[in-house]
Amino acid sequence: MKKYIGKRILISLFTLLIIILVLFLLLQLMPGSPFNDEKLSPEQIARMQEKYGLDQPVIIQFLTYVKNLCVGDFGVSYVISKDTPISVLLKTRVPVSFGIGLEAVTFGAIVGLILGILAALKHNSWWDTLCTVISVIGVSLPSYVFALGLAYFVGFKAQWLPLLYDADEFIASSIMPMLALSMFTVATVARFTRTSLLEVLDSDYMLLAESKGITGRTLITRHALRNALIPIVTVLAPLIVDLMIGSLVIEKIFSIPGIGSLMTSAIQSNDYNVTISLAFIYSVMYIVLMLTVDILYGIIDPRIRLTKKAD
Amino acid sequence: MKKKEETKAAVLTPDMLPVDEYLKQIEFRDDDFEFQHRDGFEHIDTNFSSQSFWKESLARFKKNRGAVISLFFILFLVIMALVGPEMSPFRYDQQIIANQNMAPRVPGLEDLGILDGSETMRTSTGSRDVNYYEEYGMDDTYYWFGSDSLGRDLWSRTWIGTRISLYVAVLAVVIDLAFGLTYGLISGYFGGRVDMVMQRIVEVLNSIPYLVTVTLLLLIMKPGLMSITFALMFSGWLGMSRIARAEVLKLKEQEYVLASRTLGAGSFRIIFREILPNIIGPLITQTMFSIPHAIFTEAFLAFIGLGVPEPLASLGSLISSGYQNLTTHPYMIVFPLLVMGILMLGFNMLADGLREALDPKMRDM
Repeated sequence: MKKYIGKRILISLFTLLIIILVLFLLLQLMPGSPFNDEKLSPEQIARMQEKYGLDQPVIIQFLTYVKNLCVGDFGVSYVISKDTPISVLLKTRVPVSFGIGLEAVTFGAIVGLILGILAALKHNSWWDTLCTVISVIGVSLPSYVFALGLAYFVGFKAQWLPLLYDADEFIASSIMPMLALSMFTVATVARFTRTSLLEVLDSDYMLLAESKGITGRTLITRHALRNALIPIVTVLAPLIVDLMIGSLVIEKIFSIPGIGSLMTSAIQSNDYNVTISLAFIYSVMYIVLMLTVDILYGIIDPRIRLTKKAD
Repeated sequence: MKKKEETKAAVLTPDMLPVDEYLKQIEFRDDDFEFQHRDGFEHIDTNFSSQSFWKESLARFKKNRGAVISLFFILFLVIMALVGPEMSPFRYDQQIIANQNMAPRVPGLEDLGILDGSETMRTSTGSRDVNYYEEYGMDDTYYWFGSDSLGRDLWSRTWIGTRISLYVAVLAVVIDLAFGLTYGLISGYFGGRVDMVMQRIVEVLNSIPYLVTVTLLLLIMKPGLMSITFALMFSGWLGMSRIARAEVLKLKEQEYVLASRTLGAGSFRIIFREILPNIIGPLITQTMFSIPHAIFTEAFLAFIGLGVPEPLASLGSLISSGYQNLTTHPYMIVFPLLVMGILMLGFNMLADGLREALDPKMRDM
């Protein structure tokens, strides 16, 4: 197990290093230099380059870059808001994105679980059909389809909820983004819970528990659910990916000032510095989350632990 | 000597004659060698007779109503993508500035009061119904899906966009087969150090979020079909390679592979002629699932502004520009969104149906 975790961490670190290297090279290759003002004399340019360490060999520059990234110094934005340090831009945006993401995951997981459990317990009833329909639609349709539908019918036509994000009304204005973002979670969790619970309900030890006289809620919660939900870690990875992608689109639709919309506008306005910093942040988030999921997976399911050892 | 006598005795016939003597006495008739007819008491069990893999799969697939319907919807969209743009009198990139923001109008349906070219305008003084076709006196003009804010026909643009999505779908299949399949087969079959190195590469590529690879790729390249193609090539094949490798690992130690190798078959023959036909089911399923993923990626990129450049249209870019007019001209987004939804749902349900048909054990997963 220790060897497995160690190997995963090593690979993650290596990946991160490769990503940083690519990002650094991209920054080097980007057209233009920070000092292409014609009024500057060669002497001044030399002094500026010395000041910002640009006269150093590339390898030293790279190490400085890595060091700066590690302490959270991402440089300044050139286009979106001139000369603002990117860390300042991020400071207000990260909590917003995380808040909505967390809401979506929590809501999606709870609704998905309830739906999946009901579908499995009332197998072949209309609950079951509803669960199947929702999971097919939720997995298939991109989240912006839901977002646009909600925005038009609930936000614009019925005017029940604010159409655009408003920091003063966080709860009310985050309901629609949360719903749209959580559809995929609802669908995956519901589908997974249903399949897994059906399998467990059919197993021999459930028959044993039942014949021992355990009934009703205890039977379901203690014997069935507990075992059915262990492998739910397997769906975490696609969920994370979907949330990251989804947030970009959803934040644009509801004009939420989060990192997703910052990324979109940075890409659109060619603000390389911001794009590359955000690419770094997304990579770190993704790698850390994936690492956690993999390790959790190894700890929870002994079968995986064993096969990974055999690898 | 004694032994020979015994053998002779053994072939004596009922009349105590040697066989050849006895045969000469028998007279053979033509009907002696006809088949005995047993029609009355023999029947073949058709219910459980074994059928070929493909026949059985086809039968299972046909039973899945959702999948069959999806297949027809997809076929319909493919046909429309091919002939749709030619059906309209307007080209997809033809701008007629005078005909901006025309609401959908369809001959025949307009008499029923739907899609008759009228729309509700919301102004500061309240809302009113307008019909630009009547106001401008264009009784013979029909924009079936309406026209956009530059006066371009949305019908042609929607089907051109569908073409792009279908191109991406084909591309996903090609990438899966060309990279993923080969990579997984080689990695799984050769094992050992080759597998070690190849799997580490996959792990590294897999831990880079594709959002990041895609955006970075688009930073160096101009947005367009080429960069979307490259973006898909970069990460689209990873899932396929994993499945192919796992399947090869299951099969490569089996006796029939060993037999083939003993008979002198080379690696190439074993991989492609012996193993590949036996793992084709899960591979087809995996390919089908990467299609909606690829379509989604393209639409997502288009939506955040990295799609095909104007005046070309993709479903994603149509949705993106329709979204900007969502509150004023909602019809602009409806049709691209509808086609997109049908395409995504259709491919997903088709893939589900194929998975169940090709691998019945995987049911309900």
